[in-house]
Amino acid sequence: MPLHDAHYQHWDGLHTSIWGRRRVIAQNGISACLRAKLLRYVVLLSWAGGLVMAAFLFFLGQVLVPDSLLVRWVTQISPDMRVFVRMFTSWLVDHPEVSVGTTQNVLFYYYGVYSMPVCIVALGMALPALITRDLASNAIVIYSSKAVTRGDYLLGKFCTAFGVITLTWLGPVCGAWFIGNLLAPNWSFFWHSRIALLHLLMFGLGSAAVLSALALGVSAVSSREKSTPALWFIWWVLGFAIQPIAVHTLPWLRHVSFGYDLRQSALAVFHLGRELQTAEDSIPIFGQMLSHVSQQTRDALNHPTLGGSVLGLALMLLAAGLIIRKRVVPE
Amino acid sequence: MNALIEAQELSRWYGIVMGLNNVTFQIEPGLTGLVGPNGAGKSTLIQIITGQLKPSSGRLTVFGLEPWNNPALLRRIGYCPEGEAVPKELRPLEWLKGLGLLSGLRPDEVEGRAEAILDKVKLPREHWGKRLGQYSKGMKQRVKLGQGLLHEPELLVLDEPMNGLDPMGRQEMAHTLKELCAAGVSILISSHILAELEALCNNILVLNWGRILASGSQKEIRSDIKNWSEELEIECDAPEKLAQHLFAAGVLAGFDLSAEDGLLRIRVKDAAAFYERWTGLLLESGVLVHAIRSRSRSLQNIYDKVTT
Repeated sequence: MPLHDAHYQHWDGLHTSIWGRRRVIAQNGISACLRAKLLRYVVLLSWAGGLVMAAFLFFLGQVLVPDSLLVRWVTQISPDMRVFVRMFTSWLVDHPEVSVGTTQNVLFYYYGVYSMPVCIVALGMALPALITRDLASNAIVIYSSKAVTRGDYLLGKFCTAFGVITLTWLGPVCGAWFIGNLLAPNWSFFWHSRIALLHLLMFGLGSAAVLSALALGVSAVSSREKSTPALWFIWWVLGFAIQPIAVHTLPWLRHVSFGYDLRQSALAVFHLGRELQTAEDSIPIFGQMLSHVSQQTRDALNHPTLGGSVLGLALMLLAAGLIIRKRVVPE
Repeated sequence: MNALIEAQELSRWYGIVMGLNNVTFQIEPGLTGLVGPNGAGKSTLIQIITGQLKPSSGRLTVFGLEPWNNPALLRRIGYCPEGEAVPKELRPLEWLKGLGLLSGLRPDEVEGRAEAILDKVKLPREHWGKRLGQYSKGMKQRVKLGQGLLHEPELLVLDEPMNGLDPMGRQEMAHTLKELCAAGVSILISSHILAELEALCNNILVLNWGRILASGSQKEIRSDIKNWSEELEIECDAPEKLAQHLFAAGVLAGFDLSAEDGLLRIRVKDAAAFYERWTGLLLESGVLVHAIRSRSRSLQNIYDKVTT
């Protein structure tokens, strides 16, 4: 080490690449976020949810195998049940694209959408560690005097937010798909659920990118550690609260909620209305089960307000970009 | 000698406010002081040199390269900004390791180097376990200096580094800077404490209202100032007698007497002619002289002359 003694030498050794340095920003950011005990609990909770989903997929897989333990146990309950289960199983086996593909598509829509709040809460907790603290301490000046640009800094912080989302949402959801299908009776489950996975990735990655950028924007709004999470949660809850009011008064106001916009995007990506229709048409028992779904709900599932949602999200991203430009990017 | 930093008609404005106004200058390798009142443009200049700001017009190069958006050049520059600028929640080693990796140092080296740097800036090891938020201002200043040196830059830019340091700390900081300079690191240092800059820097750059008022060595600047009068403070046993003698010899432009303190303050017309005759005049006067101090050679004096 040249600096152990009093002599000073200029460093002429190998340097890590720019991607290595960006990774350092992201890695240090995630470590800083995980220093909060509460966030670590949220991560555990998310993965526990993923395991529950995987277990559910395992049982679903068992239903599709006529001689599985589950089917055998159910058929022993009564002769009527045996007939029903045999019929149900044969329908499912005859339509694997529906019984595996559609079922997983619908399940992952609900799991993806309803587990997203956990990741929004986690992001709220992680906000101070994104940009807020660097603005508060002015350490951002030191970071940008190193061998990285502010663009690299922002990319690293974006990856930090993306990492938090991966730990609390994308990871458990994709993990559930993988483990659930790994435990399935045969490998064809991976193949039949490929479209569900594709939808899941399209929605998950897109939403994670949007949420990460929005979180960066909110994180840069203030240099007070309590203000930015408060603003994030107020925005989220307010957006959630105004939806039932706005639907009858000013429908466009619903797009102020990023949660609503992302749910609408999910409907469009997972083609939920079309998938349910396919299930109804292919397997009669599904048709009976879904017959009570109202026309209004079917319309909502078939015609998500994608245009308004995309516009709403684009405007939010623009606002986030302007805030970041004003507060973080040097002139 | 090749210029380390070179500015050509450099301007930077913030809306209608001029931060730097069409300045052209060169800074040679070595230890250079940046002097000027608040709002003079020192921080703007430092921010342009360290790539934090883009010039509005003109050009500034460091090692022949423009710093804006140039990570390869920033790797050769260390920067210690004014203010605390340290993350409160981290410990010094954690922070320095992260910054080392950010500068491109290899993971297997960065810990040893961070420890060596903290030793070099004399941050006592018993405080390494504390979070930076618990540190005194002086300790934060040392960590900040450490992060600037961590990647062994060729140019170190320090904005008010003496702020918050006690006298001992200032002395140690000055010693460290001289040591670095002797090892070949060029240092640009901005400070309000002119006496310390005077002791450290040979070259200075005086800024006011976004303009460069003077640049070069203190000697060169003094020789360029018109109506420069040398001022001396002489401690002797008969100040009146000495004043009479020097006045009669026709070398004085003016003088002040403080007989009870045994002090005579003189201003001379022609410094070169005065110093040529000085020994002879003193012997002729027969006055016993205890001490002689120059009052005009201080950096404060130069600063006062060029800014008024």
